[in-house]
Amino acid sequence: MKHSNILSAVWNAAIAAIIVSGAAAPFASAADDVTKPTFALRGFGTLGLVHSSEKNADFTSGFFEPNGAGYTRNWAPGVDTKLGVQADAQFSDKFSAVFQLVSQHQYNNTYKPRVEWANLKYQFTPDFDIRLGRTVATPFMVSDTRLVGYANLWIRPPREVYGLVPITNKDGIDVNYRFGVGEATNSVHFSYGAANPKLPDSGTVKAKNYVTLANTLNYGPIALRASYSWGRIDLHTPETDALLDGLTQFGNTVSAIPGFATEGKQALNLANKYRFHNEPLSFISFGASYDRDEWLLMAEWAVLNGASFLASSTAWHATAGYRIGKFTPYMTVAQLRPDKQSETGISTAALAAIPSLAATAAAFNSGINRTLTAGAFGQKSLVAGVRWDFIKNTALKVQYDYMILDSMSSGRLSNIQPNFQPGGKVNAISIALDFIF
Amino acid sequence: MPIKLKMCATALALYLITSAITNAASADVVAVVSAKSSVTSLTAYQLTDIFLGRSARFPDGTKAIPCDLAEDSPLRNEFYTNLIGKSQAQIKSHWSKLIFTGRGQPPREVATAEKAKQLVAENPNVICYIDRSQIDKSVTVLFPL
Repeated sequence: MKHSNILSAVWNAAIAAIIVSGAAAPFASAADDVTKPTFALRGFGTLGLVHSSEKNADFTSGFFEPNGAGYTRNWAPGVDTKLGVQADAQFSDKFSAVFQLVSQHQYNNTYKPRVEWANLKYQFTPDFDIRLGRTVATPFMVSDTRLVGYANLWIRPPREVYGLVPITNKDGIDVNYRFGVGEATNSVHFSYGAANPKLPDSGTVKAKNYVTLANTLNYGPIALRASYSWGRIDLHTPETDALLDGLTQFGNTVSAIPGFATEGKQALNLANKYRFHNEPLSFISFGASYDRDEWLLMAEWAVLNGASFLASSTAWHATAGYRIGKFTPYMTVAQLRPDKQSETGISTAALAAIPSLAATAAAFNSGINRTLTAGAFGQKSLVAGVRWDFIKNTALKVQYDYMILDSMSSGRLSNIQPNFQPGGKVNAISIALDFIF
Repeated sequence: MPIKLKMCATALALYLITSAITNAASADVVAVVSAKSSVTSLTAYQLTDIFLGRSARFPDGTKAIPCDLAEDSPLRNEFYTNLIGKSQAQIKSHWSKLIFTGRGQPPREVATAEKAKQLVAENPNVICYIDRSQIDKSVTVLFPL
């Protein structure tokens, strides 16, 4: 609540400032004076279609998209299609604002626009700024342009790595400072804030005290980046809430039965252990890229330290693109490897005296283990595609994804149906038209 | 002796003609600042960083404001292809990265190289590119030297 108040205050201030500056210098874009206040309205977007060979699950853009290609649709437009509009206002040398609205297929199965960014920036020096409001969350190398297809080589960043932290923005403050090191430029980024995006099927995520510290070194065509993020997370889905509430109830009931105090305690401990409330999550990533003449090379390696039923995972990708005139063929190899997790659960031996209790305990044990398996996403993929910069400000991409899901895992697929067989191989074809304006 | 001299003269004439032809085929683009600026040279990386928005300062710490010619200008194409080593599409893609991060704005455009020179001459913080033939006392060439 507090954060949305801050946000709306920033938003109102930004709009007021835009109006004021607009009155003073309406669309000064053609002016030869490089120091006057300006206002710019720009946008980006993608028209996309995805087809997936797995018919009992959906290939989606991530945790926030309720359905996609495979089970729900033969060809799904929602995975990559999006439209973003951004207003940039420069009020003075030091003071500016950014406001960005993005429309994409989201949790409630609509394309209702959301405020992706709304922040005020104060530029103390050309190399030091502070932004206040809703800013980008930056755990990854291309976090900044995660949604801007035109800025990226692929149709979408590798889901093995980028799915580890699906939250794209935060409400708070960020600080950026850069300095030269010989011929190289080093940029330091720090941000602190909160976020609470909504999940499909009335699930919720709350990130609090979400901190990211990142350092990027640019030397000619080479960029090296390291980042560390930390936050407290609440994660609720109807299924996990039902399971844990059930366990608590069962624990209380069993505890009240003489002789079963131990088993009751076990059930209550389990419920507490897996309750996804205020859990500390941390994330580390290292990235490197090389972009010169024909070659574009990029690699990222990341570790998520999970909590509750969300498994700790390691992921990486390596991407290479080679420009041939207006065409850039590219390839990516990526892997997502979760730590295996399982739970012995409530001991059923003593409960055997009352068969119904033993059966219920066994059901809870298997429920917990199923949730743990579901929370350990693992897959490898091989991606090949081509980007064609066929007209100004527009690129057409065609991409083939070959995914090998870990045994027992649904990988990065979602909207899993009862007939789904874990551990399969999935082929997906995507077409996307990326544009900026 | 006279023969050697004649050969030298012919060689020189040939050299001048060929270099004139190459110059005509690729206009000679140079990055310049005001003669009032204290900056006298840049490395290729420093020039690239300023024009790609990765640095807002000259090596001596003074503020650097790059400017661009219109998108369809041959001189602009020349500048990015030969001195920065990126095609127009790559430059577009690069700026779309910075714009949609709120990290920066592409250089402000000026209509003609003549206006670019004027702007540079008047403001010691502005850096732009012009044709070598436009060079006069009001500007200093930073790259290539």
